[in-house]
Amino acid sequence: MEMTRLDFLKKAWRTGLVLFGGASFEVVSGSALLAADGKPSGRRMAMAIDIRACVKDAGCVKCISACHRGHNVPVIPDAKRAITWIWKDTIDRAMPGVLDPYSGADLRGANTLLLCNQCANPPCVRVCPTGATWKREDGIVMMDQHRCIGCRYCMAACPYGSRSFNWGDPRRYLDKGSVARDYPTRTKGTVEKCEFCAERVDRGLGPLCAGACAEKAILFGDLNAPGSAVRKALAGRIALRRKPELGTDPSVYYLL
Amino acid sequence: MAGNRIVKTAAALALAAAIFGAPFWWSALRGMKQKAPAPEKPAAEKECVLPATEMRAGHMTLLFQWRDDAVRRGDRAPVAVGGKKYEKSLTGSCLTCHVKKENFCDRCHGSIASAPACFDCHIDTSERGPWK
Repeated sequence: MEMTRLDFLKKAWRTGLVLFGGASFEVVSGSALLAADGKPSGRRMAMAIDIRACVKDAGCVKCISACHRGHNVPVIPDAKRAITWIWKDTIDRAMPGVLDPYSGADLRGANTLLLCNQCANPPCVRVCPTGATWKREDGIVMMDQHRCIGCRYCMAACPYGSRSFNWGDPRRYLDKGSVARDYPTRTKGTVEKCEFCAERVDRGLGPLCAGACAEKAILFGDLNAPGSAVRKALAGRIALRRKPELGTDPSVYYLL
Repeated sequence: MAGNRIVKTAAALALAAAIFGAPFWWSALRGMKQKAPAPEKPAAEKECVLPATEMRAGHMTLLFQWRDDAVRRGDRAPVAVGGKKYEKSLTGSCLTCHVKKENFCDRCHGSIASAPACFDCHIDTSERGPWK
């Protein structure tokens, strides 16, 4: 007997396939990250950027150059092909609608630091077809250059523009003599972004940008540890995150 | 007619075998033999992470394990072999003994026309000057 589409759906419904299918949503809902008592388990690396300390020196790019030098990020003059792991943009563009014409006059037109938000619910990870980008147990959203096929789905998914694509060989803009020899470059056709200095975190060190900041405006630590520098800073200050309404749950906070 | 066709087919096959088999019979006739590649051995070090025979056969498996440990599992703890500690790193460990990639990796890979993409990203520490 030939089965019609309606018959198939009826049978599928009766045998519970449709119901069980709903179980797959549980997997991505994130509840697995909570321990039995509902409290978060494990570490969650986070950053708090003190906007007011950062704006003191408008022309300072110490953190950016420390990061880009340490990770062999090329300086590409063509803005459309530029690679950025950490960069500066106005607060109004980073967090639209936060500033109004009257309050916080000193922050209007001022720049703040932007980088990968290391989301707890990262859209880039959801769409990556090869597992080249994934979230580590400590919350860092990593890139595995060995697996990236350059499809750029992650770039389309990221609401923060934190990812860059290598349109050409980045080595054309780097010099063998001055590159960081203990860190690889990337290659043509791959996507790259800030990884919260995972290679340093694994060795018990903090990120390069935080270490380079003379104002100590960049704090780094475990969001799940009440005694960490980030948690202490957050407890005493008002903090903003970029586009929290999207539900990405960013791990980068901006202290006001 | 049928016989003619068989002869023609056989002749065509023989000709094809002669043409496509040229690399084989040409080198066999001239007594050409492939030279065994001679990768440069480190001057000071005698021991590697694994015995030489195992490294020769399975260095790629070891590199993949190290890669997965370091990148995917965040396990960058050094590997201790015979009192010496090796970082799980291509440039940080392998290239500290096998100083020149050109004189070590490339010797074998070149002779068998294998071109792994490791150094598209990882840095050959012996090189200087701008990349091509």
